[in-house]
Amino acid sequence: MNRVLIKQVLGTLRENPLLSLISIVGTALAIAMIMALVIAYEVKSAGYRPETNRHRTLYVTRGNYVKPQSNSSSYNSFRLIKEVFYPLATPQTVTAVSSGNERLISIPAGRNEYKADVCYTDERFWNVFEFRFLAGKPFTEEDVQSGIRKAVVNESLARGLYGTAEVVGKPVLVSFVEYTVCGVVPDVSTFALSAYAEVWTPHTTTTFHPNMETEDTTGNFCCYILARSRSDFTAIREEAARSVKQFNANLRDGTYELNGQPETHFLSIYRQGNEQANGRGIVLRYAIVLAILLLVPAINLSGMTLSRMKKRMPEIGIRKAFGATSGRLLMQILYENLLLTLIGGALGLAISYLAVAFMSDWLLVTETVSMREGAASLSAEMTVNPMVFIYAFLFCLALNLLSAGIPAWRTSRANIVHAIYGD
Amino acid sequence: MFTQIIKVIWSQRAGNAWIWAEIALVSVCLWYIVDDLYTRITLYASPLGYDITGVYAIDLRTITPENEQYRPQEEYGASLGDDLLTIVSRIRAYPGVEAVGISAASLPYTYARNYSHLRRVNYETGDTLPSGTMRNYFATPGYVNVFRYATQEGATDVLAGSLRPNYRIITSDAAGKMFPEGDATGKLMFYNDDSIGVYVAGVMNPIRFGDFDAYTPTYIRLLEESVIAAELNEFIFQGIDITLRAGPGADKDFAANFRKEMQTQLRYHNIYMLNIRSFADIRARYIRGDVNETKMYLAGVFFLLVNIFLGIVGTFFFRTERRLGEMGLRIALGSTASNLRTLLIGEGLLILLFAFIPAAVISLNLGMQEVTDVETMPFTATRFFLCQGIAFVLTALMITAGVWFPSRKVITLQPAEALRYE
Repeated sequence: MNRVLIKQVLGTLRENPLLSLISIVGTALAIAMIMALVIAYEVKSAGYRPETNRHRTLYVTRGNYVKPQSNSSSYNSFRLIKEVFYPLATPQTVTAVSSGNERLISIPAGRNEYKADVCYTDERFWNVFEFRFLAGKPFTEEDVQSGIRKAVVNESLARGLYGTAEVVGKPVLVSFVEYTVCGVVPDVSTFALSAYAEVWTPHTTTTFHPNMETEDTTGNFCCYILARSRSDFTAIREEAARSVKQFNANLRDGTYELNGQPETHFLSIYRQGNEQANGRGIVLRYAIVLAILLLVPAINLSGMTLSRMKKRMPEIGIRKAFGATSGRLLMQILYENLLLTLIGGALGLAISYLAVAFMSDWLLVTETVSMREGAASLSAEMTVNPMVFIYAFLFCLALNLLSAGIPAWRTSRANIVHAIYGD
Repeated sequence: MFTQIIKVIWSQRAGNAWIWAEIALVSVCLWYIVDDLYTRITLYASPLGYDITGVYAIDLRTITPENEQYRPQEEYGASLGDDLLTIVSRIRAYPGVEAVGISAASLPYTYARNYSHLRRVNYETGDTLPSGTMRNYFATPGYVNVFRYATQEGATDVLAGSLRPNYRIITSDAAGKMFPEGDATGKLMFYNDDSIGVYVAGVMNPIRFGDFDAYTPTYIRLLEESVIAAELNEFIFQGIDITLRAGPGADKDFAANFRKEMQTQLRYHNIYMLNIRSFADIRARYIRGDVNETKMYLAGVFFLLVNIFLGIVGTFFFRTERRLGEMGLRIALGSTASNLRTLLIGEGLLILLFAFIPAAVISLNLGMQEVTDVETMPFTATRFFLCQGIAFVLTALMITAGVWFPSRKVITLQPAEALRYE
């Protein structure tokens, strides 16, 4: 059966090269565009090192301090995270992260000076995010408690400063203050924006000037909450709301508001300031775009499949005359067509990977990502993901049903006598 | 000929239905994208109200108390503000620097923004007068020179000179909103929570945050050096921006040279220079998202047009093959090659017309329901017809190209040979 099927498909392909080409190009173009979107979306939202746990992390990126007549929105202060989110009992762990701090990095008596993004954080950071250490290890709770100047640096910076990645124990100047390197990690792509930095140090090694206008509730920190599983999300949100309520009781003039946070990774990437993203709206938009990308070529291909089927009417009639049921013919036509679709689909997926590789600058980079110094690099781990192949297959299946469904149904139901005459 | 084409289309209705449906769907999508691109490009092409060529941002930071070099300001006998002013005067003295500005939350291509609500009061009648929310720029006169904000007549220096305490320079769109009756200069405005009024110092051209942003009513308020000297602390320091305009003689190495030569001079007391960035670079990063989105839409146009092309080629390929007999007969009866081609293209374009009319009705409804971007530009008849026109022409071109290819086969046909098919 399978060999016959393949022969049949090859025969169809050869019979009319131009039409075959049009079908394959049409399918490939549709699948390429769809998969470029899917891969871009996966890079934005799937879990990969060091943000392996995106699916079970909750995000608090904005802080909003509200007084009658005015409100002030920014990141959160460390004090707020310490008093509101650190004590939460449900999560596995909670980290406070101040990233995107630009500092000058150099070595004592060194000639090279780099502007780098420094992340000030706590020891829990290394549990929420899964880094692979090339050398050394992260700083510890004791280091953070006592403000010991240790730093984890990325590989490029280590090589730029010392010409080697073996720099553990060596000094590094962060805006003229001396730190000791305790670990080296591979460069983090700016697509992993929450974990991204070039240097990571304990937040206690620097001074963050408190914003007294907001009673030290807003500041420079984001909070990432790692849940044991997604099913804990609701409980964590409820606990956080209670915690904020308690915290607000001690504020003098205003209140701190969560504005829908802690929220999932999906909602946090689309958040605009104080406004939580409209998740449904975004999904709907994606769905409409995907539907158009499928529907337009499907109508095209339908017309062509129908023409092709007309030519094969006598064959269908003979098959029927020999006892093939409508259902069997329907499946056969769909199978044949699926093979054609898969040829186009494979080509399309290959094109989409090329597009993502060579045009990642415009397919993936957003304003937020481009504000950082580091490279928006892509790795195989981020893009070659079993889900991508499953999606690609599902979209081919959908395209096949849309484009061959009606022709197959009509053909398989044709009257035997008319079919044999090719009417 | 017209009725002939209609007859042909009707007799082929089964095959035409598919291409008709496709063209109708694509027309709506194409209109949506063209409309979006149209608003973007119109906005992009309209004036910004300022000029960033040769403008650089100097990123200054303060060292923290952990630093061995850190001293409390009292030990230096100067305030942090005094030190900042010293640094600014050093920057001003650097060869090739035309102007230096100090400002807070007032830069184009950035996200730090402050807004204030201003109103007018008529004490005699107690009437409600126009009021409005404006973006609030807080800057020195040097800043006006750095970005070359200008009056309608193009005067920058006059504008910079008019910046005084209790006076505000307002943009012409703000002036139009607040003082619809005419000249705004010298008029009085009030802040919402304040009974002390401020005067309009002058009116400047309207401005936008960036190339893809709409105009925002804005005013500039004077940032006095004496205030900087007295009130600047380390927290406020983080929100202060220093910008400079390099003269026409500055080359592309300006930033690198500046950094090399000024690094030690700008390391003063507790302040140091982190970086110097050109506004060309700041702009590129800021508009990145919009540029990418525009490219995305262009890719969408490409996708739709290619599909129309493929659909037409596919449909007409089979059709002409099956109609070779008819075509042969036409040739035998005296039709010329161009007659036949016109007939085929006419068929394609007429199908387009039939598909386009319902599509335009759908598009119009979508437009009326504000599905498209109406924040930057109102949905007007001109905008609708122009974008529909562009979408129509693009589709028509694709259809003509799509019919051209299969029609080649027909017009090279010899009458005798063609008649054999019959």
